[in-house]
Amino acid sequence: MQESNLVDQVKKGNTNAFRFIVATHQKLVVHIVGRIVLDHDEIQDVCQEVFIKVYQQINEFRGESRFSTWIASIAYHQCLNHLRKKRRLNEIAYEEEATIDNLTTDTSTEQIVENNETKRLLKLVVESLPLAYRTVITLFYLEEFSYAEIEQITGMPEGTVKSNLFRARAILKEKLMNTSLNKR
Amino acid sequence: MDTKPGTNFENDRLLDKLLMEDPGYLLPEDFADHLVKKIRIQLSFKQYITEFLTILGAVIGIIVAFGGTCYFINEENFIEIKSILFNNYTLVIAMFVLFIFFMDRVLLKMLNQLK
Repeated sequence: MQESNLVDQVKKGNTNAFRFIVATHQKLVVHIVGRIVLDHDEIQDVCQEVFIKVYQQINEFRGESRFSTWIASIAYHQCLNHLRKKRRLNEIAYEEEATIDNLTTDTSTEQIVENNETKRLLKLVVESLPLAYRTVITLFYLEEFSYAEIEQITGMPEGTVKSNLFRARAILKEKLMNTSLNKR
Repeated sequence: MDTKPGTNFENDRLLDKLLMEDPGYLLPEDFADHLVKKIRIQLSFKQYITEFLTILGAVIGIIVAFGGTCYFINEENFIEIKSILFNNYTLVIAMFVLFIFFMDRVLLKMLNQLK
């Protein structure tokens, strides 16, 4: 069944169609929520809130954008609301940076790709980035949204999206290289 | 001095590759089922509340309309009817319950089918 048909079915109150939509998009939502909220104990609850909002607001979806873009936008704003409620919006996980310094990685490029510790390290480094940076990194690389779509989702101008992406990459590269040098 | 493990191009390629990998945030396997169940419960609750308010509104509306009509037709009769009703409150309550039962079991189901 096509996505637009599924959306129409949900609008008519078909909860089975909604179950299918949830199953299809839960990875997208958990990636966004995970990267923004960070607290593993809260991820599932926030994901639930996102999908409940999707269900409640589905009549407002007019098909002007991709459905996944629309869901991502709801997820992003729900996460911000969640963080605002917890008054943590400007928080940066400083304690994780200390952990990063203690991690070691292999220096060979190919080994780095395959190494699980490097993946864990990257996850920590990404999670230590400021919120705007880790948001664009997630949307661009993990979900492969275009600059224009990221603008639609977050409300950041396209130029800001590009510069955030550039700065985030620069920080990540520097931190990853520093860590591998520490090992040397 | 180039202190990096690879060339810039290689490092960029490596970073791109790493960033595209799943970060490993997981939801339970029955997440969708659990969520839909929760939504169904919410919808049912909303429907019950709507039905209850509809019945309440209808009952209050009918009582007010009946009382108002009696009052405007004949004020003395209205007072008489009022005293009869207040003196036979068991009968009034029984009629009220019967009326609500009728609204809930018959009229609302008919209205739902018409929707």
